[in-house]
Amino acid sequence: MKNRLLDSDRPTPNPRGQGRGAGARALGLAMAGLAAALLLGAEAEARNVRLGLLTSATGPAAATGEDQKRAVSLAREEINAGGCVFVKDRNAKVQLDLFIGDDQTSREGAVSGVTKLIVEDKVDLVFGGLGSAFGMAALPLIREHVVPYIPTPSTPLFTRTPEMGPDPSKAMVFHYQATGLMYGAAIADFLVGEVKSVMAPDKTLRVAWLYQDSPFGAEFFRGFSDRLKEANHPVEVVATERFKVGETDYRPQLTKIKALAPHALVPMGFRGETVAMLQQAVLDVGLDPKRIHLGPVCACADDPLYYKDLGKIGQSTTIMSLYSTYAIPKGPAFARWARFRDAYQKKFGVLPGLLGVSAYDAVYIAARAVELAGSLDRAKIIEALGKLQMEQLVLPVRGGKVRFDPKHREVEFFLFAQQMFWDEKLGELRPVIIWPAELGEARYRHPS
Amino acid sequence: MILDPGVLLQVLIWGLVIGSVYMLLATGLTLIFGVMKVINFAHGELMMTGAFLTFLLWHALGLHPYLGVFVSMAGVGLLGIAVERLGFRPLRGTAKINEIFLSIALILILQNALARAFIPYFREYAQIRTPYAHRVFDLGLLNLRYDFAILLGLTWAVMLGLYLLLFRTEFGREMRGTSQNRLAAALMGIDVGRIDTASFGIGAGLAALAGSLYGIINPFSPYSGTLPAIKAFAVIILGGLGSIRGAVLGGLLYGVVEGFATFFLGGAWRDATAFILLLLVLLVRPEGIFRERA
Amino acid sequence: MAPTAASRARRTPPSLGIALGMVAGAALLLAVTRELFLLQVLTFVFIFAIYAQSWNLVAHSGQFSLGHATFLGLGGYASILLARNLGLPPAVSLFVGPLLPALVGLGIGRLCVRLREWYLGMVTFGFTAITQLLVVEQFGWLTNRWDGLEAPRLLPAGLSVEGAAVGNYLIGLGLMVATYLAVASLMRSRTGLAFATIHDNELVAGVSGVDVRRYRILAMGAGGYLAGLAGALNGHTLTRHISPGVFGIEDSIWPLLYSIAGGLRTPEGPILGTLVVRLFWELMLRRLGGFESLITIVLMLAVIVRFFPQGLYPLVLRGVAAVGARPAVRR
Repeated sequence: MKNRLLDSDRPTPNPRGQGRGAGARALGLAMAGLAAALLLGAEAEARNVRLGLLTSATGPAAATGEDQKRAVSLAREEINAGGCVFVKDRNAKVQLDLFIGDDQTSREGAVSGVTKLIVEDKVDLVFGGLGSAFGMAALPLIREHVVPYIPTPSTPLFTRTPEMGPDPSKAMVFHYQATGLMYGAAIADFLVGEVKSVMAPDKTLRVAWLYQDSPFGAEFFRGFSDRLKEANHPVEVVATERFKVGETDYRPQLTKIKALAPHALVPMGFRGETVAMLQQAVLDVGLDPKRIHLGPVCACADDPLYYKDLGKIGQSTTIMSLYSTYAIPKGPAFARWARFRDAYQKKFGVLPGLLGVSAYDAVYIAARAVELAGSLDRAKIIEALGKLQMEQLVLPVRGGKVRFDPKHREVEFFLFAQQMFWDEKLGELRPVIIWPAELGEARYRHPS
Repeated sequence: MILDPGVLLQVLIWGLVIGSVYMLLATGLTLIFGVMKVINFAHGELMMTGAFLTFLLWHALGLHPYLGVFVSMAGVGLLGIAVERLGFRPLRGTAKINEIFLSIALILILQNALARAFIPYFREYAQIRTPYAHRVFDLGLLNLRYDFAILLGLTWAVMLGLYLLLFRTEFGREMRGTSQNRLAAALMGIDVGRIDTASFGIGAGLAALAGSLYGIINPFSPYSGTLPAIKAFAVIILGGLGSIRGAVLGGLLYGVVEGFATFFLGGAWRDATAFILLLLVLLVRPEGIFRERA
Repeated sequence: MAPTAASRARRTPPSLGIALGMVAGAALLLAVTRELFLLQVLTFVFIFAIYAQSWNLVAHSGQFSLGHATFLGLGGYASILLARNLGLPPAVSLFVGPLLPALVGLGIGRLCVRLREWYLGMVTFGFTAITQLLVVEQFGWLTNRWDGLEAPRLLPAGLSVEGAAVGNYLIGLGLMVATYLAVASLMRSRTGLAFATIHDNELVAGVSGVDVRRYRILAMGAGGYLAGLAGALNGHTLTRHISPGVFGIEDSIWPLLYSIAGGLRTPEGPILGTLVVRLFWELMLRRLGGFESLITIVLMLAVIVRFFPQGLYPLVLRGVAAVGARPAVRR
């Protein structure tokens, strides 16, 4: 089953002649001309909409890349089955084609992956991605070729300057993910609003961070500390420990954090790293969850395997989420969420994770933008993305409408916190939404 | 408060734990180098093959990880023997660079084969869980999980076994003889080809032990072996190529220095510290700390 | 086993002719196709051939480097910072920037002058890790830490996409050929002879009056400059971005594999090796994708090493000799 799946996901090397007439095919061949160009797959006249997913197909993050590939292929099937994309200047409904650029889980790989998408596959739009660093490494080429780009990793640098101001030179980038700044700010508000009254009612809340030494980790922390200053939260940051990507032994750092006796520890990393940080904190170093709140962890950890791997020690930890594997917020706005999850599970036999969901939504956004543009002209698609406004897709957004704000070209997402509780019957953790109040089904509970 | 003796002791133990892994890797590397004068760059990939084998035995067949370790050692030992017989032996006598090439090629082959086989099922990290994950010794100043105590105990038991093999048996004498002077050993009628095969097999088995123990205390991926193996390589350079004493002390020293550097200076220093140490030592003693030459 | 330096010099075909051949071949290709992707791949080949050339030059002097990424990365960082922060045109910073890795190379050469073989390999690798630490931690204010830096482009703005691709292709080609000619003449000069003598036997070289220490340091410095040039060129043309990820293990390993595949210690080998390996790689990525393609590449390299232990270049020479175009080539 696995192999069949991989095969169907692999982009066809030469997409010409798929479900089109012999005339078009002959025209395409005549246009192609040169033998070398033929080998590399030349551009045909009546082409489909070409979307390029830049993700990790090999290297350590390949598994999460697989989630994106699956989610994206589901979206493509749904759109193609539902009548394709109407392109006005073609006056026809046009199918979506998908191309995969492999970033090989490295910055250098990202450059070659995005080069392939732009130069060889000649895609109309690039989207997706797992790691901020890889998406950022692809950016100079995206800018040079002025390709519309919808990245799904979290760094705000996709659309901003290093000082976090708006960056007009990145006008082709439309960021579809809550940024590290948004997450960090939400973490600050949540810790002060919910956790402080339980763990440190009349004192300054002492918080320690252990985060990935990368743009991704640094921006979460920056969002957090900016928010502390801005809102004048009664919080003291007692430790800011970092670890290199790929490192899985955090014991020396955790030992130091334990000695500093914080009220809360925010472990910030990818899913596997988060699981290891929490397990080492509780089991090896002996941080007591009754005295130190563990969390909230990164939304990107929210994946079926997180619940499976973490085990009982995850009891009472929290997660700052944008999408939840098991808890669906109530209300009609979230009907699509449930539909997507069921369709994904039916097709692939597993549940999706946050990055898969983000890329799924991005396909719909791209399709709508092409329709709005009425053309496959890259400049027109960029213009259309700037004006786009559509109903909330799977990920929750404020006001129920997806739109990229004109200044930062970011979407105002609706973040929520969940707390983990051990389910004896399932033998796994299950989440309860506890924050903010309008979505919450319960309040934060002390582990005792 | 940070400089509390309990805290420092704890950091020391983390250093000794990871240092034991480096020690096992370095011992295998130095054993192979001593006999064959070959550096096996793919040692980290043999290590991860061992970890995945133990993982598979435990995950799919329910074999107790501490029993699986031994099966894995035997399996990877056989793999090592095959690598020596089919890979390094035909290259013996050709340019050194071909051996370097072969071991680099093995890195890429094993890494990608493991990734191809495992990543679709276990995603980016796998971890081996023992039944003792929640059991803890209370040592007064600090608590120590059973798994760490077993790791240290098992490592030293195997090292003791290796010591007995090398210094108390006829076979060990032959092996040490080959390591000191290959030509003389061959002239004295020692089958140096057999010694090559055995040392590669033992080295690979030690790597499998290192990998399995690593996989019990840390999450791992097919890519997790590269850096520990490079550090083990630095360890044997530090300790003196071919010296087992150097590998043992160097491995533990690296682990401890790394742990304290992370504790005091931060996680960014972790990898570089080992090499700064190596550089300092080599500037003073270009042959490493323990010079073992016949 | 290894041919002596003198015999090597005698049976090497004239490098100017080969250089002209490379230029003619590349120009012919440009006349036939403007397929962007092919041009990009070849530009990459040109740049990394310079890089492999640098590794090969250092190896020619008997020094085994496992940390060439130090030079590659420092060249890129230095040139990009000069262009970004001091406003130097990239066309200038491209050549000034690599002076930093050249200096570092001289320093490493000086520091490690007593180290050989594995000891040298390991210490040079260590320098990569140490440099990464310095770039991220100590100079983070300058280098933007893990975020890395965007590189100003070498070609003037306002060029069409195709024009830029052709421009990069030609610049890469020009610098690769220039590097090739420089290295080829260096290898033939007294200095090159000294390198080769040190490689063959350091003791003998010393006894016969070669200043081993001086030449080893010199080779490391020259290697540092060339690798840095490749790094800077890569930053300003292809990747347009540099980050501390450049100081990784892979970038130190590939020049070694390219050189072995092409033929060690000849100025032609690294070019041929880079070309063959990269083209095969790109082809495999398209046919197989992912993990399988990497395994296939390595197996191909293994076949080369097994059956052509001297690399592919001697094979080409023999082929050419068999056709009779180059009677100078005799075994």
